[in-house]
Amino acid sequence: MNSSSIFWALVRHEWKLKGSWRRQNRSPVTKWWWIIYLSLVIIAALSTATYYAIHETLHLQNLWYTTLGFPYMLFFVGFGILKREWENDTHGWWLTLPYPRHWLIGAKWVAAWLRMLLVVTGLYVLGALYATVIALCLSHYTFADVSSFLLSGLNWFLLIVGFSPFLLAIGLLTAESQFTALRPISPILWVLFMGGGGLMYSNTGAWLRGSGMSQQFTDNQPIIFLPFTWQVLAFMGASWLIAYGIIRTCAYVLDKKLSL
Amino acid sequence: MTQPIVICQQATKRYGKKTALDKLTITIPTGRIVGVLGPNGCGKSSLFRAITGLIRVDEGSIEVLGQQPGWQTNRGIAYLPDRGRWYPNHSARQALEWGESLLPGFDMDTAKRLANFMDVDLEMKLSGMSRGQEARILLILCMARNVPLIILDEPFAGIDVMSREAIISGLIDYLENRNQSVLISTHDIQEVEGLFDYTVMMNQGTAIWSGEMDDLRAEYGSLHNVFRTLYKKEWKP
Amino acid sequence: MEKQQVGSLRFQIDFSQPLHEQILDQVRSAIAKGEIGLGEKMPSVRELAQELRMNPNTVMRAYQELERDGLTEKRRGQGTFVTSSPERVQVFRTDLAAKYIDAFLAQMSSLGLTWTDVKAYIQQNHTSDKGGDRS
Repeated sequence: MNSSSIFWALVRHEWKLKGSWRRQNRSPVTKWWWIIYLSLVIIAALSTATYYAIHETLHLQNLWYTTLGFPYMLFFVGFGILKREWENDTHGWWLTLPYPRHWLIGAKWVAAWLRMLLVVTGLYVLGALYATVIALCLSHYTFADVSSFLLSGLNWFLLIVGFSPFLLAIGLLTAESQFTALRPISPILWVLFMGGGGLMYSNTGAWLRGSGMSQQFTDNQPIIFLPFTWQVLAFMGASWLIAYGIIRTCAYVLDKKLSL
Repeated sequence: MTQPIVICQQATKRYGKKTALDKLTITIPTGRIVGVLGPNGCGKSSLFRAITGLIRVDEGSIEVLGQQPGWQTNRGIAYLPDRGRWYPNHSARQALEWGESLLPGFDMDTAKRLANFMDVDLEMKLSGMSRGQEARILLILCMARNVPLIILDEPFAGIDVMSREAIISGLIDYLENRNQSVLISTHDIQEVEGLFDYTVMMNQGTAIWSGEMDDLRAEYGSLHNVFRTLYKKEWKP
Repeated sequence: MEKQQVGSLRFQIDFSQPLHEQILDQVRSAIAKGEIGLGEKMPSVRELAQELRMNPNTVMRAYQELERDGLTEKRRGQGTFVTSSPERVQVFRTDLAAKYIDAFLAQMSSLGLTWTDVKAYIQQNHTSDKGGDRS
C-alpha cells in the first residue's frame, strides 16, 4: 500500500471511531435518559421558534444564535478524539503504528474536521428545511426571508469552518499535554483557551460586528455573501499556519516526549 | 551467528525520582521465545516501551532489529501493550480489518484461522465480550503478523483459565516452523514456563540473570525456585 | 509432576530440569523398551509441544537429535517414524546401557565403593532377578 492510502486508512479509522469503555459501563437506562432529555430540548426549542414565528415576531436569522457555542464544541471535539485513546487504553496500539507521528495526529485532525463539516452541513440543511416549511405555511414569511436566512447562515458557518482547524488543533494539543512532558503547561492551555473564549463571548456583539456578522444575525439590512473585513480573512489565514505549527509540535512531542 | 534481536547497553530511564531502567545491559538472541520475568514494577514494561519507541531512554542505548527504536522499526514488531484494550465499538472482524489495513505483514487468513482455533466469534462486538475474549483478539492482532519480532506484555493478566489455555495453545500452534523472535513478559509463570527457551530475569530496572532457559533450570531448578533464590529480598515476609 | 500420554509415548516432565534432555531421554527409553514399536509413527512436533505445553523449538531440537542417533527417521510429507531396524535399536540400547553403567560406576567410586563391593551387593540382592524389563 502506498503512503497516501495508509494515511486515508488512518483517517477512515478515526472518522468511524466512537464509543468508550467508560460509557460502556454506564447502565443502558442512563443512555435512554440522555436520549429523552436531548429530544425534549430539541422539541422545546423548535416549538418556541415556531410559536414566535406564528406570532410573526421570529427573526429567522436569530435561529443561528443557537450555534453560537460551536467554537467551544470544536475545541472539545479535538480534545476528545485524542483523549479517547487513553480513556479506552488503546494508546499503546495507536502509538506503535509504524507511521510517522504527524500522520497519526494529522489523521485525527483531518477526521475531526470532516466530522465537523458533516455536522455543520447537516445543521444547515435542517435549518434550510425548517425555514422553507415556515415560509410555506406562514404568509408573513417570504422566500426572500429564507434566502437571507440561508445566506447569513452560510456566512456564519464559513467563519466557523475557517477557524476550525485552529480550534481543533488547540483541543488536540490540550488533550495531548496531559500525557506528555507538556503536562506542566496543561493548566495554562486550559486557562488560556477558556479565558480567551470567555472574553470573546463577553464581547460577542463587538467581534461579530467587527467581523461584519452581527448585522447579519439581527438587522434587517440586505445580506451580502462574505461580508468579512480583510482583517478577519488575514486572521483566518494566520490561524491555519498556527494550527499547522501546533499539529507539528504535537507530533514532535508524541515522538520524543511521551510520558507513559 | 545471526545478529541479536535486541541489544541494550547501560539503558537508563527515570521518571522523576523513580528509576524504571537502571543501566540495563542485555543481548537477546534472534529466533527464541524469551520470557522476560520479574515482579511487578521491575522494569519489564518500560523495557518493552523503550524497544517499541514509546519512550526514549535517558542514557545508554537500545537497538532493535539492528536499529534505534522508532516508528520505522515498528514495521517489524508486533506489540501487545500492557493492560491494552480495544476500541469498544468494533466487532472482532473490524478489529482484524484494522490490522489488515494498518499493520505491515498482517495476514488475514492466518488471523481467521487463529480466531477459529481460539473460538472467537468474528461478528461479536468488543463491548459485549469478556476480558478473556478481548485478550484473544489482541493476541491474534499480534500473531497474525509475519514480522521478525513479537512482543507480548503480560498477555495472561486478568483473564480466565479457558482463554489462557486457548492463548497458550495458539502460541504453540503458531510458533512452530517460524523463525520469529518472541518476547513475553509475565509475573505469573504457571503453565507457561515450558514455553520459554531463553530468559531474562529482571529486578529494579536491571537484568539479574539472562541466558538459556535450560541452563537456568540446570543451575536453579524450577522457575519457582529461581524466583525464590534470585528475588530473596522480595520474598521476605 | 504428572504423567502425560501422547500417542504411545508416555512422558513425565519435570520443569525444574532441562526440558530438552528429558524429552530425549524419555523417547529414547520408550524406543529401547519397545513401548513405541519399530516403524511406528511419532507424534508430530506440534502435537507433542501442545500436549506438554512446551516450546516447539525444544521438541524439535530433541527430535533432531533422535534422528541423528538413527533412532527415528523423517519421511517426506509423512512425519517422523521410529526406525524399522531392530539392529539399530539394539546397538543403541547397548550403547546406552554401557553409558548408564559407566555413570553408575563413577558414582559408586565417588562413594568410595570398589567393584568388589558393588558385585557383592548385586549378588546378594538381585540374584533372583533375571534382568529385563524393570523400571
